[in-house]
Amino acid sequence: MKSFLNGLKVEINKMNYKLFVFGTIIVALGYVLIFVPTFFSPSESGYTQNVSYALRTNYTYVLNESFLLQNELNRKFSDIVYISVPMNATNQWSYLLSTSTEFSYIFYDTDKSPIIVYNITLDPNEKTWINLTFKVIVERYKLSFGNNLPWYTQEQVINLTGEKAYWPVGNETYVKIAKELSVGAKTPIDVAKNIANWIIGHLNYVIIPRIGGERAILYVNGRYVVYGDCEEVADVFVTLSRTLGIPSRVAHGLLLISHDERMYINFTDQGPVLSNNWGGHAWPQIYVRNFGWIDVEMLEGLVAKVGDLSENHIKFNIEEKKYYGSTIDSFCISSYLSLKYMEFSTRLISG
Amino acid sequence: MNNIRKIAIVLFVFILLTTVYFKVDVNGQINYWIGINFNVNFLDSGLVKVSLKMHPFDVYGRSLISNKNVTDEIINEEQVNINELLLLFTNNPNKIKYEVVNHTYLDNNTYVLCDVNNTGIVDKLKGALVIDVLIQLNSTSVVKEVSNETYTVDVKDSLTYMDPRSWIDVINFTFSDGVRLINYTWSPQTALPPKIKGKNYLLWINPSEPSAPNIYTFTMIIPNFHIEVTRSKLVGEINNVEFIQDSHELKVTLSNIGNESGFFGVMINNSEVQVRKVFLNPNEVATISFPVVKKENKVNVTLLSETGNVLSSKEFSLSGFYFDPYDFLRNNIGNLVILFGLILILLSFKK
Repeated sequence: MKSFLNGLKVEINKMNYKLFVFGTIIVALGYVLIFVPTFFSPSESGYTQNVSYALRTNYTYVLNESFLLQNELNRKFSDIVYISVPMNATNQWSYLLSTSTEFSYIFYDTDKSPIIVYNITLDPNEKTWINLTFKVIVERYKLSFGNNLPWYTQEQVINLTGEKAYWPVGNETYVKIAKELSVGAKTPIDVAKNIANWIIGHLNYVIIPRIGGERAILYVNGRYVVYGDCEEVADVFVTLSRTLGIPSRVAHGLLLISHDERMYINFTDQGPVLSNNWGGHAWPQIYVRNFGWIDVEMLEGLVAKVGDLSENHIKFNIEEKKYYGSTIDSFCISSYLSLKYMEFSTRLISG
Repeated sequence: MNNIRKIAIVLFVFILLTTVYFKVDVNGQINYWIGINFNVNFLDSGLVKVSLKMHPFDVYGRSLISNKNVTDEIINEEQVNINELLLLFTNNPNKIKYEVVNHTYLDNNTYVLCDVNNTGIVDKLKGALVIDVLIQLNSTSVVKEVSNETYTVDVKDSLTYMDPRSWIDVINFTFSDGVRLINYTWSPQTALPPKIKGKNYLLWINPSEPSAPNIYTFTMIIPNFHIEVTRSKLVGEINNVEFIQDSHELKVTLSNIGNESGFFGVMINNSEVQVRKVFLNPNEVATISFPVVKKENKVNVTLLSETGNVLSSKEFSLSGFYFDPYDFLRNNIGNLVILFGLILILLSFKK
């Protein structure tokens, strides 16, 4: 043992100590370069670093929902009332602060959209208000995409690009348009931007009841026209995206003109009267592999925004899996009681 | 067949499946509900006979079966009603094989059970608009093989999924022609079990939406039944695969060489599996791009049908592949630095 240690001492004396330390540092640096792939070398596939946030800012609102219900029948009625409320999503966090009436339960539909259920009993002609207050944190975000964003897994294509009642995937017109929009496009984001720009360029914006993708594209005077409002725009986008194999779906909620808003619909005998700033809105989302669902907006300034959502959007529900759209197609539905008035107000408290 | 009729007559007493949903007459004349009763009868060879009975009534529970405007509207919406029926067995009514045995007809001698006054008491409404449909179970998405001739079948309360105001009040499943029920369950488990159980039938009575199952699951022996493996009639081939180094792009050219139009899936397996969907008519050729980051000089390209069946698969050498020193350096910088460090350490031992 003594002999060995003496030998080692001799070897150390012989070596260039500084060079040894320098070499060791270099080896350590090499390991750092390997284990910090996002800086210096691609991850296993090199795809994951293709999406990053260019902007993330939180805005906190206090949101009030108010609904006036009336029993217009000539006998006492006990009815179940379903109210759609702001959901928790990738870029949104919702907290129920108060409700004027005790609710029965909350449930989530197959697309994880929250619905609050009330049991309301009213005498003939009696009216009641249901008021709810939420704190909603909305993340205004903007993504930047690399040039190598991958396409999808087989499972994602099969499960998330199929046909639904409002999305006629495989329709001849859609197939034809979709083919033109995919020419030369390398990534799903390229395709999504092409679709969004095409819709904006062919839009004839008219507020109508939802007619679905099948009837939302018309051929007028030798060119295609996207006919309808935000729901048709979203349905056409989702149909074209799904036709090209991009997982997509529709989000429903509010689009605020400014942070502090008060909007309403008054259901009169002559029909609904909407406030000028009424912001009931629908917009599409696409799935980005290794990242998640991102929003697409085409009607805010008529600019194609993919993965660039303003803080003026508040999500209430999602349509993805069900054949016939969302479970709750209005903000408040009841069976026997009449909805006479609904109002939403927002107040920005931080952001 | 006589046997089937006999059982059907016995079951008539129970009146099968009862659901109501609210219908707004778009002409603004009458708001009405429709009581809906289904009979779900599992038969030999994987056929399911579903009878749908509908009875409209107003908000006071008064029958509208004699109101021609209302019944005409229901008759005109036959396809919508059939789709709702089919959705008990599928997520997409367009993908299911079925036959309308009897188109919508008025049967004044039958009854529909429904809680028309929302009081928890089921009323017996005389007369119904009836549709009879025969469904091929092996074309649905709800059947799974457990073992030889033993299958599980999930029946979904599709109306609840569409609108929370609707649920199945009463449902009766019957098993005849040698079909033998082995086991059954339902979800959510908080819902009620069947009210009446017989050797060949199960009857659920659900007084409220929370007490109504959303899914009914049966394990049964179905003689002479096999799950059909649907073979796609699409025939395609990959014509060319080209790698473009500068843009990290893999271009795949494919063609439809069969007689059917349809969606092909193109799957590449290079550094990461990616699938793109493309619709091709007979003799049509298309070129699509994939982003490819990690370069290998071989790629496996697989053609898939819309449902994911492999149509053909082939490995290609990438003709456009060439050595990129910059990429090599970038991808291996960590290893190169370690190697350099080790050389320095070795040199440090040298005099």
